[in-house]
Amino acid sequence: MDYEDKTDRGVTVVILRNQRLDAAMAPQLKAHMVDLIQKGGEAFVLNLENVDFMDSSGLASLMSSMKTLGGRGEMAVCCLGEKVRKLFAITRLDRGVFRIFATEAEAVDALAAAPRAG
Amino acid sequence: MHWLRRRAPGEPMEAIELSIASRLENVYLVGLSLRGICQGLPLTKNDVDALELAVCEAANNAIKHAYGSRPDNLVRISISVDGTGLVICVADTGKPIGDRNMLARELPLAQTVDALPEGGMGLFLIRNAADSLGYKSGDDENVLIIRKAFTQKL
Repeated sequence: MDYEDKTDRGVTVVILRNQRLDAAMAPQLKAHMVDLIQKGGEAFVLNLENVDFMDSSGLASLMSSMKTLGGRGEMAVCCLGEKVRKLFAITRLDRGVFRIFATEAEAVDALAAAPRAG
Repeated sequence: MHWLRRRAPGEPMEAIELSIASRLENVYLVGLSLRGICQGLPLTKNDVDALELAVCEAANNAIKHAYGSRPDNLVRISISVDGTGLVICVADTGKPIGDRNMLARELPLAQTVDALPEGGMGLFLIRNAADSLGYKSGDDENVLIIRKAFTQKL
């Protein structure tokens, strides 16, 4: 799985380069996020602009990353395509579990402004 | 625009069979194949998206749960079409689903990530795509049966 990571005002933005976030790819994203969290990251934006197909394992990798982060930080997703947005809606994960933003800039602004533990 | 012809009553279904080795890396091929077939049938874009996701979830479940992620088995997928809809069968020769109630279980509405269920989301997505869902096991084979009626007129 290919990523581009960058940091903006203390927020780590992870841009997924693959078109699929599925059961074959999900463990790699999970490992990448655990690595970033263990390195001290506390605020994350996952940019899913390039992701055209996501399955329940892809969603589970995002949920698992949030659980790893726990109360120490915050995670948001942005730039959801139509199919991915539908998946969040069907599973009702867009109702309070994930913060979802239309653009990366909006997501980074929101997380950069939020107070964090520590 | 679709390719389905009008059929005489009692005419047998048209069908295609696919099989993949039980590796998660192969599952996208099943999804793309189904998408290609569905695009020639009277289904909406939402239906096609949901069915592609459903067949991928079914194949993932067969690989992960029935075969325990062992890569040396086969997942067989048959897609049958008649004048009213299509039937997708996903078959494995591994461990059957133990708790059949999982096939009908609703996904709880979670407000926090800690309240989310660890499993069952794939089956929920399969059921969401289908008009009806069946499962049978026996004769050394387990088959998940996804039925979907056409949503546009011929």
